[in-house]
Amino acid sequence: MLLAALAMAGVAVTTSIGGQGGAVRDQNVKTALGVAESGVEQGLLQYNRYGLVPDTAPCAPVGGTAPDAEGWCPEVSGTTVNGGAVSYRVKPTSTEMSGGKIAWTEMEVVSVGTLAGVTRRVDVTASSSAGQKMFVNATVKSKDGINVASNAEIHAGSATNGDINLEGLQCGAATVGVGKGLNGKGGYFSDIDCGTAGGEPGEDEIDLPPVNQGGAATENDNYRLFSLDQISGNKNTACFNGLNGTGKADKSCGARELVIGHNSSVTLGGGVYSFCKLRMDQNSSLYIAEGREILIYFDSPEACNYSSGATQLELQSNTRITPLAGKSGSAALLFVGSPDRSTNILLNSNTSVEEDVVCQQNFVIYAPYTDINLDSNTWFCGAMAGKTVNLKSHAEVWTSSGVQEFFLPLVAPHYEPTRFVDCSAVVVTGSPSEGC
Amino acid sequence: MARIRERAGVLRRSEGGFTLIELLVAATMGLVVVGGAVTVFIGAIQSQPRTSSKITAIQQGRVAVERVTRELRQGADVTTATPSQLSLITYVKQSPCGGAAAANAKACRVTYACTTAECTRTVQEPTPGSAATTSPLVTGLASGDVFTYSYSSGESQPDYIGVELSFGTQGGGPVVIADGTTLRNAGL
Repeated sequence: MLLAALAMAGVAVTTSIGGQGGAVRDQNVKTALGVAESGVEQGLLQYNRYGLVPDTAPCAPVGGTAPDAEGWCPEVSGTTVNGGAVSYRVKPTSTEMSGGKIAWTEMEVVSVGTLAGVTRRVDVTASSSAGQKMFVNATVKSKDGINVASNAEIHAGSATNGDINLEGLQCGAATVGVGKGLNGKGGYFSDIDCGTAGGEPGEDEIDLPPVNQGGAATENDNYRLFSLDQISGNKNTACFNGLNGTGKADKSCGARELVIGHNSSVTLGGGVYSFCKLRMDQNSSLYIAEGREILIYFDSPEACNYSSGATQLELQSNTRITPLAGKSGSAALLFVGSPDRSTNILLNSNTSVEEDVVCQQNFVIYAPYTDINLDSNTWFCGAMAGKTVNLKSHAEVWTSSGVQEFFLPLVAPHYEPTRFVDCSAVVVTGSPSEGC
Repeated sequence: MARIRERAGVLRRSEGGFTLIELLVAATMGLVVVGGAVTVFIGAIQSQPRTSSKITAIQQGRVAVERVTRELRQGADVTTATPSQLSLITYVKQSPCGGAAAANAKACRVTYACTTAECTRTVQEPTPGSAATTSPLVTGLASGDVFTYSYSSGESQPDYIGVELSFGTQGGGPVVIADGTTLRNAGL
């Protein structure tokens, strides 16, 4: 009897130990997964802090010389995290840009974490906004939704992760977010001439990566204002960085704020500008010098000391952003924005962002964290992407094929994960991503 | 003569037995020990089905939770998010989705539907209305409320999903296996 009792106690103890062992193994699995993910973070960190990756040495950030035939850089190993061993391999992928330049726009990282005999492997793809074409399928894009009031018109493909609330016209193929819809009494056509009924819009998710301004906040052509980039009209009403056009102190503009007073104009002839705010008063113009392709970065509200709700681009009635008459030129207005502080773009009534009526240029507003508002009778020609896009009555957006070739600028890339796969633990054969 | 008496005394001491008191105490102690052993034995016999039931529930729950959290970790695009039902797109090693096993993972729509009896898992292509394959995931649940969701401010998609499987067991309280994970993918 005593022996039987002891046997039962033994079974209980064995069961308990087994249960504890399972719990320990569960804990080791989680830790091994964390170790593997730390390898991915190490790989991304190496690339994000490296700067521009050379065309001919994509493995340089991880200390490698050349990738293998499949494009994988040599394995990086030898580090431990939380007592687990981590090793990873990186596969950069390039996109060829205009002018034959290479942009390493995507990278795949396969990382293995091992702890106490438990191995976990993850495969993460990360992409950079640098060098990406943002307007290939649609030239009006919005993260959260597009609102088109009555008599407002979009003559371009549109895409959003939210709803399209349509009381005016959407002429051009549209997609809405998964589970979202095209609502309202407006007209939806599949072509930009409003000739063919569009039916139901497609459902798709779009990605609007944040603006990476690189070193533009400090390395820019702001110094040209107003010495090389001169004012036409009343110099006392133009203001930048706290000084007006005559060089006198002016409180109407703060640091990196450009104000163009009514009936004045400024011609930009540099390459890269960094503003906190651009305000154009009635009947003012901002000209793009002949042949120039200008990037204007608008810094984050945090960097500009703006509170939530700040308007960073304000075009009052009858203002223009346009190339010099009869000349070529283009501009991209890139807004860094913030996920924590809302910002706005306001194109007031009768404003125009255009070259001429045939709309053959590359004007771009790219503002993934900023709400874009086009008031009544505003004409915009080019491509725009915002947190929301809101057209009031008689506002119009037109586009041309030229803007589809617009690349986000090739600055030092910042990779952010876009795809995560929890792989089988061990590679059987072949590529590091086999089994993922 | 003195030597004879001394020898007789030695013999009497070596032949001395237990007293009655000693025997009674020893017998009582023996009964207590045997009684304790019998009690432990009977208790163990009686609790064995309950213990076995809990062990089975723990093992089943551990496997199911690991499987679910692994799919949630790779998931995105949650279209149904209730305590008893969850539908999202995640990576599954099948080609086509719901079909034969494949070496590499592809994006599929996976739907978990739970009742107080069981949870099922349905796999299909991401496009709405595509053919679906449903299989049981776990049985013996005490509650169909399995999923909890955490959202970042202003977001419509959950960024963390908790999983809690509660199993009814024989003659005891429920066994609860809980885990959770953040969704690593923003969209698939």
